[in-house]
Amino acid sequence: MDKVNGRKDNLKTMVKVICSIMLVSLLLAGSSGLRAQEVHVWASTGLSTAHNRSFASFAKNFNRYASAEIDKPLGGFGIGTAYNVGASFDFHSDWFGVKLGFFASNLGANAKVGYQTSESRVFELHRHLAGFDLSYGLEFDRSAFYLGMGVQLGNTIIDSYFIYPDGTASHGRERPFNGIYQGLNMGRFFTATYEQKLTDRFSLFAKLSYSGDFGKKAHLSDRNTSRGWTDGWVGSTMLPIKPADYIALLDKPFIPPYDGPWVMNKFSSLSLHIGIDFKLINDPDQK
Amino acid sequence: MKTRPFICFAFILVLTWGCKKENRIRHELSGTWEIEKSEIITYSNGEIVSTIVTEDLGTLELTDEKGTSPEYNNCYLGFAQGYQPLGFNQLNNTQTFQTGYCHWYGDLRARDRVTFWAQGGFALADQIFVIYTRVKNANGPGRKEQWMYLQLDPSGEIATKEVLHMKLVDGNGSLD
Repeated sequence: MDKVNGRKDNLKTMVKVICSIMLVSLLLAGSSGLRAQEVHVWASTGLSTAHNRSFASFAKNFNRYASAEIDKPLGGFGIGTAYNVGASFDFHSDWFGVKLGFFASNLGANAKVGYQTSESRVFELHRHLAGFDLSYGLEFDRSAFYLGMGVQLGNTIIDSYFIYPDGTASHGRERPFNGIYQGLNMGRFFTATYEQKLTDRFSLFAKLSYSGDFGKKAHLSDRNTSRGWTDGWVGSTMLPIKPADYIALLDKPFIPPYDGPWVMNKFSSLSLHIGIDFKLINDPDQK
Repeated sequence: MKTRPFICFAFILVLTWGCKKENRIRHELSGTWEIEKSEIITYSNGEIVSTIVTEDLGTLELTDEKGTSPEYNNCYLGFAQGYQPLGFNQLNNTQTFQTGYCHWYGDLRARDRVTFWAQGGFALADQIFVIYTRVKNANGPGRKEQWMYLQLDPSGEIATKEVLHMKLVDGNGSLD
């Protein structure tokens, strides 16, 4: 128990430190006394994992209850693709640099279960995030290396739909688990970036980042299915046993009792991005 | 170069980013939709047995009223004489359906469904939902969509597929 409380305290301290640094940086940068030397815009794309421990538990139970019918078991979200755009204000000395940036990103990944009847169910994950980050780094002649951290907020959607043998994809209410489950989330991330100058204005960069969501209560919900399961499904081949009896639910029940567990809106991601950076506004001293 | 305007811009961008998407989706869907065509495809053992196509089947008017909770916007039913879409049969015994309307809403942050509902059941205590899958999305008046509804047989295979070919003829669904 002490270990758990200790972890909680560490997390809280870490969040406070990150938020304080971000806030102070923003206030400093926003004050009229400070002037950014350069303004950059950038875009990147890359690969990202999207791990959700509770979804993994849901998948395990889902596979268990439908084991006789499943051809390809449900796994996690695996590796997805991400697109990011952003801007940063760069402050430089001869060898040291600070970047204060903001960004928006989209992450997409799929989890799929295949049935022996050529049917399948897709869990389509979309994460739309935006946030701020602060990076400190060493700058060399034509390259630079930065370490950074930041906070992000956004929304998560798990779009669960069923594909019939003829290719018909249905989001309708005719099957359990169909739904668009969404929720808001906030998290922190850490980055390591390597930049290589191409020209005076253009640079290529590679960024490795790890992100994790805050909180232990964030859940996903669908306004259509949150009002309960259709009783007619229980006992059918689609839903042999009442789901709450032995599998995790995809979303938090709308009506008490809130018998869990359900899939939490809590993801952690490791991602690798490659992007291009453009110096939009140059250092006035270099004119 | 002063950073304050950029910081403010960044804050506004982040705060507005991702917000109000439901409003945009609702606005896209609201308006008068003409049911140009209905396809009823009947299956047996996974094979198509018959396809019945009928045309000019009336309208659905989806309102977007300011000050109304999104779920309680009205859908006024202007079906052609003797016609009713398959999915709407579930709403037959609901409260408002008899007087020519039900409620509707779109997705919160996706564009995959349009949901119709009304109070029904014993003492009108239940909410009866019908969900159509939006096969093709539209973005304004004159655009076309396909809305699909499935009925399954007891084994879980498709028994009947209804595809409504919809055309947005009047996109001004807002009642300001």
